[in-house]
Amino acid sequence: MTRDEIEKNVLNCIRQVASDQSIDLEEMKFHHAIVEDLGFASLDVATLTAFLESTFKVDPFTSGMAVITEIRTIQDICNLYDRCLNGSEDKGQGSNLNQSDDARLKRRMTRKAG
Amino acid sequence: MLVAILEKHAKRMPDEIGFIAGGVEVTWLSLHRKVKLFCDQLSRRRASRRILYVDGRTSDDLALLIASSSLPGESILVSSFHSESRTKELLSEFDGEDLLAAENDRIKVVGERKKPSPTPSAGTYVCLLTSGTTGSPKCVKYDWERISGAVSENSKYVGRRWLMGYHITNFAGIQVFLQCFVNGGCLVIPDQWPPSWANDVEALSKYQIQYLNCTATYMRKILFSLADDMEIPLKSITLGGEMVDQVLIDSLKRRLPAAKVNHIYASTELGATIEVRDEKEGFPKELLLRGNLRIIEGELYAKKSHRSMLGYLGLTEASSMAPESDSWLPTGDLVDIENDRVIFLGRRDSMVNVGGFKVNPFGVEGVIREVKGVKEVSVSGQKNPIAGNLLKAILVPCSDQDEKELKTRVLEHCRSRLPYYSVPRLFEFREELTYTSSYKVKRNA
Repeated sequence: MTRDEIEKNVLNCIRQVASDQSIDLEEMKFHHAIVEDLGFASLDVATLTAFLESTFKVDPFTSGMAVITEIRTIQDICNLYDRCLNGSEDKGQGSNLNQSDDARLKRRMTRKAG
Repeated sequence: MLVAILEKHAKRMPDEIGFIAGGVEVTWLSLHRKVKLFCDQLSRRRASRRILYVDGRTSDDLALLIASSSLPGESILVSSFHSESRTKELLSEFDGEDLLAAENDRIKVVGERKKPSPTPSAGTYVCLLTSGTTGSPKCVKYDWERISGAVSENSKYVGRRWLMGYHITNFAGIQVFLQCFVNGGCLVIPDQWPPSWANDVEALSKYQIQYLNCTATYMRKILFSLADDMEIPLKSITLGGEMVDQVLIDSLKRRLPAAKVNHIYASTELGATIEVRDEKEGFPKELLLRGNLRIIEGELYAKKSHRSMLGYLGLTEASSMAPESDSWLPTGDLVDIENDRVIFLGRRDSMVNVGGFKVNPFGVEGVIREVKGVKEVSVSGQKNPIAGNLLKAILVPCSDQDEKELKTRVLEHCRSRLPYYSVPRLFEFREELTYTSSYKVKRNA
């Protein structure tokens, strides 16, 4: 699977969880952290791992390839599955998701304020 | 024991129909003749422990079952959905000698296993395999008096029609068979197992069935398959084998107002323990005062009774054949007392740990069933590296449902009724759920 396809699938899985759990995703960037920036609760992260497993047909967390606490950002997830599926990883950021940080910062501020 | 009852029916009402098996009517007289023939053929076999292939869908099958009740030793009933090679393994596992079936008026020896010195057996026993969802099945031993312990004899049942909603080799199936047979009723045994809903619904009307005994899952299937204008003469529905909720009882009362809805709490090992006739879920708290049921740490415990098994057949035979003791046996069912009722919460081994919270999948299923457009649902845990488990709901939608919209409605309804950890996270849509051989929903499948 190409890097582009992996990224597309990862983003789809995130969108699916967000849509099921009514999480408002204004915009996503690859350096966004799943919990802090996207606002995922721990069961949402758990659900995401299940969606990723069913999409990519591998489970790097159970097989010991990855420790969940070390996976924080969307980029981390893409790298992990790139490594699992292709044995490589592209550290570069996704092409169309590296614009402004405003939304992320706003969300962090909101969380702190809350 | 059964042969004597059959003889009585054959004398009193020779031309009445005792069974409709696989669409063929069987009179008491013709069945009695066949049973006599089989008793004669079986008396030449010297085995003291045997496996019988019985599906109850032909008069040969029924005659073999009845004739076996006069054979000394143990007769283990096995359905034909066990392959011949698997059944031969069972023959050796349970130390049996003969593997028998019946067709075209003859007893057929399907397999034989010679033992150096067969142990003669005093008494006549019927043995049933437990469903054995994990590992090898266990084989439960009864004598015919015990297994008939819950049969209620009443002349009003003569000629009444029952539909068999279980397989005849299940504990519940044998109970229905005995209830009908002992009373001289007419038992309709569908020709397909697993059941074909269209056929069974047709049978209810065609044969003017008055009594139906089945699992809650089977009953829901029948309800969904009933056309709105179809007249069904059912007088009594008895549900067993699975938890029965008020939603099901109420839907049955609405659609079939003339039918009494009872439910039975029984297990293959303990036999029938409670029969609830007040058309409410759970059972009255007063029953706990009878001395054979109690609640220990949220789990229902029961005492063995004169209706319970003698023990398990096999390696631990000697130790498990102890007579009734005062010890309490865990039933595996979790219960709670709400007002004056003992309410079933679910099976202890079905509880799912989601992120440290214990979730009862049966309760979640009940909530999901309230959503319009859901035909069937099964909830179970799916292993997850972060949460331990995530709840997964398998949904069978009604025919005109958009899956995405239905999922949204289910999620909204669950969020409004359940704590966040009890709301299913994973969804799958299917045309059918998976069922056990006794027609209960098989979770995790």
